[in-house]
Amino acid sequence: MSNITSVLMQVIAPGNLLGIFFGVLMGIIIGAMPGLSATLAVALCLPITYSFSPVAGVSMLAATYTSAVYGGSITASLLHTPGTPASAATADDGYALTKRGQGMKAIGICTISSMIGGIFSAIMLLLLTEPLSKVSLAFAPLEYMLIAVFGLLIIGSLAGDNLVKGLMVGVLGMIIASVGLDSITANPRWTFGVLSLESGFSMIPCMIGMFSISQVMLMVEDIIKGESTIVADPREALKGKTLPSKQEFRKMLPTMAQSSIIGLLVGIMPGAGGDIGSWVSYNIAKNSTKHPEEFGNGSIEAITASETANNAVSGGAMIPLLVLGIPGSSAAAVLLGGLQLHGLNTGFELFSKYASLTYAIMISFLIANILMGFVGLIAAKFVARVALVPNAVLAIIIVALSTVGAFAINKNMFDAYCMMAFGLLGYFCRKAHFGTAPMVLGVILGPMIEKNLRRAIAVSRGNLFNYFLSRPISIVLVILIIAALFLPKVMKYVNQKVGLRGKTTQDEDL
Amino acid sequence: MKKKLHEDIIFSIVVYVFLIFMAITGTKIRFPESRTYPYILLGIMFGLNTVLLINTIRFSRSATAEEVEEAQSIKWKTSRYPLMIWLVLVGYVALYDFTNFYVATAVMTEAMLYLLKIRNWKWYVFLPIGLLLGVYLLFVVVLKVRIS
Repeated sequence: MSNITSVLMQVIAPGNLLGIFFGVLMGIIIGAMPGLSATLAVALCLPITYSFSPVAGVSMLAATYTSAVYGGSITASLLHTPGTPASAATADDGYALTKRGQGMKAIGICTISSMIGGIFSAIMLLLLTEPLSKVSLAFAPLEYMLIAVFGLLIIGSLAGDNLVKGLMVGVLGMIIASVGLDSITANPRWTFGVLSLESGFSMIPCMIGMFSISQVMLMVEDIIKGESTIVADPREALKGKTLPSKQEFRKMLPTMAQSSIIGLLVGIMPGAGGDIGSWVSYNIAKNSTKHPEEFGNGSIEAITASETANNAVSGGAMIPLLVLGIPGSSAAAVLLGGLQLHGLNTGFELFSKYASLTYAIMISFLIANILMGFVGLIAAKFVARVALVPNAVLAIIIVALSTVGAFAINKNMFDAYCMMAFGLLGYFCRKAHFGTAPMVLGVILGPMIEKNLRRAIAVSRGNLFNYFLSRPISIVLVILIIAALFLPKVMKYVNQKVGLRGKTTQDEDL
Repeated sequence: MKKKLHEDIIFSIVVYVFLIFMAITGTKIRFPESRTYPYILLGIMFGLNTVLLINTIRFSRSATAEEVEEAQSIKWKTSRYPLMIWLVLVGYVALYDFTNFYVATAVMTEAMLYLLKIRNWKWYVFLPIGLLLGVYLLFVVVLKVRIS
């Protein structure tokens, strides 16, 4: 009873509720801007949470994540310009409704569907994570190391244009993470006599540079090409009733149920993001409907299928994240950074030592999804106008927020310089199709891999191979790692089957 | 049309130089147990880089000059302006270092608006005011974080 009270007190704390509200608002606004992804939204909010309590900080980031996925549907429906790749499947049908003078109805369907998908995944997150976390109790250092390698391999194999490039940047991230004092011998590694490097590169400035500064540089390219604003005036699109009729809502219900489950399952699979979830769900809905001819022409079922699934993915992606520390998407990788920033280690510890914190975060995620629906319905009209703000202005705001965020973490200008350096590196990585998400994950997981590898060597008394053969879980994990190497081919096949256009993961270009 | 050198080959060469540099400077790491893990990573990176190089050379040999040209994603013509802006942003961080957030951000905002071809005077007046006020309220007043 006292535990339940403790959880509820943390959930209803004013700081937490304010954090959730702010996260929802930031997520919807950033997600609605085409080109700015859910990952960028979470990365930009990360430094803001630094002075928050762990519950408020992580809840705000989770709220930003799910709301950014929803935010993408606003511009997808009203302007035929998906704010995030996860909303690409919504664009055709949402915009077809808008052209019929029912733009606000398209927004209403998107909002209700996203809210239901998000709520379902949040409930599943609450129910499934604790029992699943017990699996991690059977893990020894060797398994923890293999799990981290598996997570890195999954994101690395799906994020870039090809497996080798993705893995290269992942390993580069691990090399970057090894700079600084060795955690066991306190021996400096690649510090070159620079005092600030002794504590290694800070994760947050690295993340912000990789995602935000590189994004600004890409935006500058667009500005020079003459794309000064994202779209033309969206005000004409804001017409019609917002909420669907009872009859339409009844039509949406079976699709919502089906798509919630699909989205959750896709989200649990590491590396498969919101775009895959929405396209898979869209295609299954199309194959099971009595009116497939309506798909692509303003079908309510189509919008429902895509939007329910992409928000169900966000909760699903948090399940492997909290249970095993494997992020299900790029945005979840940044969330992992947020958990570490607040001193929370994933796995069973989250559900034993920090159980009240973890449950408070998961309940807050549920509240965030409900709040997202209400805020979305009220704010959609205003949010759509964000697309009118010149790209140059957005770029300046991103730079200022990124720089102050990078500095504020340690009150150290060195971090701001590092952010710029990583921004340049991120720009070239994205231009050359290496991706940046594997590098960020390498920076996050690198120390965990090293620490557990050295522990495993110590436990095995120098005979790691025999030790490995004596542990069935390790053998299973190695089989999974080998299977992960073939994942790009499998995903290519799935993409061809479901008709996913070009992209492979939610934030593929990241 | 003369066949260009594929950009991934240039990347591979840069990575080899980086790996050699890291391997040489890594010898200064005193304890072998601190050195083993970073060297394993350098070894993996070396292997992956070699695979990338071989794949790219194979592609370059079989492709026409046009196909190689098409595969280039980094072009000086499109990348030079973002690189110039990046230098401006490094200057912004340096100015932040030597003055404070408010002065540096006000200067950066005006400079970036000009460089990014915004000519509406209202942005020059209201954006720096709004941005500085917003950051001050959020970080200093609400979050109680020192930003300068």
